[in-house]
Amino acid sequence: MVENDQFIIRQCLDGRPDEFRHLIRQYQSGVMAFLTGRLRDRNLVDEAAQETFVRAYFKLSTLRNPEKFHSWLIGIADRVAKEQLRDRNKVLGLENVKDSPCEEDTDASEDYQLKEAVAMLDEPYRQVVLLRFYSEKSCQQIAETLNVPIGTVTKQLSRAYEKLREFLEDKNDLREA
Amino acid sequence: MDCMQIKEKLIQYIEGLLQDDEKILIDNHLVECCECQEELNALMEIQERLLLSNRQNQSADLENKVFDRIICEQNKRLKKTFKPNPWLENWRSIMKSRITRLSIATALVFALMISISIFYKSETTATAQDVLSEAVKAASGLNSVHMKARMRTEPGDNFASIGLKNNFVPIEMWKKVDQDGKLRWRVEKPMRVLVMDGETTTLLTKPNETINEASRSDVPRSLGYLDSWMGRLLDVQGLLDSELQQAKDKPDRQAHLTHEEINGKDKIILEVDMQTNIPDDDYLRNKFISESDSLKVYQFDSVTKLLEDFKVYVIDKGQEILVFEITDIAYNAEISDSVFVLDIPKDVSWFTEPQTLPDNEKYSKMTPKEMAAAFFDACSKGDWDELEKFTTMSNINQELKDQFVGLEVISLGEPFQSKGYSGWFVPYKVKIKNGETAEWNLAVRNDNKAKRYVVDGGF
Repeated sequence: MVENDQFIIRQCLDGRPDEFRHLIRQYQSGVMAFLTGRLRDRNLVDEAAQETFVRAYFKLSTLRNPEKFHSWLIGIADRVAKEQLRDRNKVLGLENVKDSPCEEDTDASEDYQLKEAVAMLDEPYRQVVLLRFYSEKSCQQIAETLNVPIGTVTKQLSRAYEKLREFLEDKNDLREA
Repeated sequence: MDCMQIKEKLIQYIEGLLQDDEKILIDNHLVECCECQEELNALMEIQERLLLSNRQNQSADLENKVFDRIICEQNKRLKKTFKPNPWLENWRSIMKSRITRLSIATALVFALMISISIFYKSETTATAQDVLSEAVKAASGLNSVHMKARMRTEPGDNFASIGLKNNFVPIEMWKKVDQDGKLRWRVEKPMRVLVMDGETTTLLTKPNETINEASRSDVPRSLGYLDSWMGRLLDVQGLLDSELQQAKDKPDRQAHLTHEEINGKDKIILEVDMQTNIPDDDYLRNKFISESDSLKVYQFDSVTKLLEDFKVYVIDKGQEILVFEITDIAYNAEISDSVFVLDIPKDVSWFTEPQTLPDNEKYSKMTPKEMAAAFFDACSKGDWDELEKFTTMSNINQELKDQFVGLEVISLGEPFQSKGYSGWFVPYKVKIKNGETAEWNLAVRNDNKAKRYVVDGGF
């Protein structure tokens, strides 16, 4: 059974911090995918994922709508990623360079393009993709988690596919050119 | 269905969300329409890539790494919050503690403290407040409390003093509120009884089972008469109220909450760390709960919210030493009225406030050491009239007279003070008639209207 985020968060705040593990297990894959798309460097991604969850843990009490935990978490991951890119650029003397992803890692098994495409999606499209494919929730479960009708989820997912396709095709066009 | 409508349904199609009839309709359309088939292939390709890409997202042990960092971060914050560092030492000992039996998770809670801190601060404090508020509410509906406890203390000393090296002494308490709101209570340990019968508060001291001294207040004393924590202990509601107030006033205070399953029931455990401001080398250090670094552990039933267990540990040199624990507690049990009636022997010696003497100046000019010398001198000579000027007793009974007379002073040391006491301590060594020697510190104070030093304890 998928435990309700709200319930888990309440438990954490009631002095059972170990319950936070459930949230890590459930969302780590989406956070990693998002960070991979943003950072493209496995070491940076690992570090950023840890940092994201640690920050989330300490800020849990500031989260007003527990049903928005996931998008809130990705918001934290986004800030962490930006900071990491900025720090990296500083080290490399590229302070004026926009926060673009790192050079692709050599890991051939990693689909960086796709993850970048996912990371570049606007909300709420990114959220449904992360929940559907990385948290492995069904459309019905996503609807329950986000407290929206299932029709909204499928429409957003449909739009997300469309955007992913456009992004990936643009990239391919660029390459071929 | 035209192509537009089909394309809108393709996501539901690949997600397997369509009814059979709609699915057949689309299947049939796809066979005939290359454009829609291509559209479907493109979506399925992305779906495939998304599914595949998920496999690389597992980070070995992310969970544990995150928790390691949380603990680390917690410690950093605690270091900042709690200066100087002795707290951390206590903290470490708490972390090792058998009683807390912490998994990493509960250790966290601990770190969180406290409610001491946390979620840190505001959050844990807030929930500690919640628990306490509910417990206070639950306790407010009680009409009686009967509690048995044990405490490391001298059987004949007051109800507040503790001794880390003392054996446990049983303590029993009763409290009753009548329908008309009249409050009565009784607290008893082997050699002392304190009773508030609704009208007056009386303390009896029973050395050698013979009651020989009593002090009485005609104004019913509050439970705080015992001392701030012990008195409130009986007044469960007051005790929790005070913790609640402190949780609100001192958000940095170390308190944290955990849940524990005991005999299949969910219990709320509230642990509160207190740091004393009494220096390590102070004479009174660790002689009272309030003069110790302590850890108080409350256990509430999560359904009734009633206090079920309470333990106090003194933290000394990194060790947790249990000094007080409730062994049995009953709420709303029938308590006989006779419990609140005290039999006072006729020859009792009553506590009296020192009065101004005709030659008061002679005594008020004495230093603590001079007063101690005069006190022992009167003992040794058996000059009981003189001796009474240095005590708060209305008369000295025969038993004490027999003990005191002929006493020999071996030495008197230099008086010293403690941050926790308004008087002085005079070290002494005496030999009593039966040949035994006694070595202790005479506690003397002159904060009375006659401004004379009188013996307050330590004899």
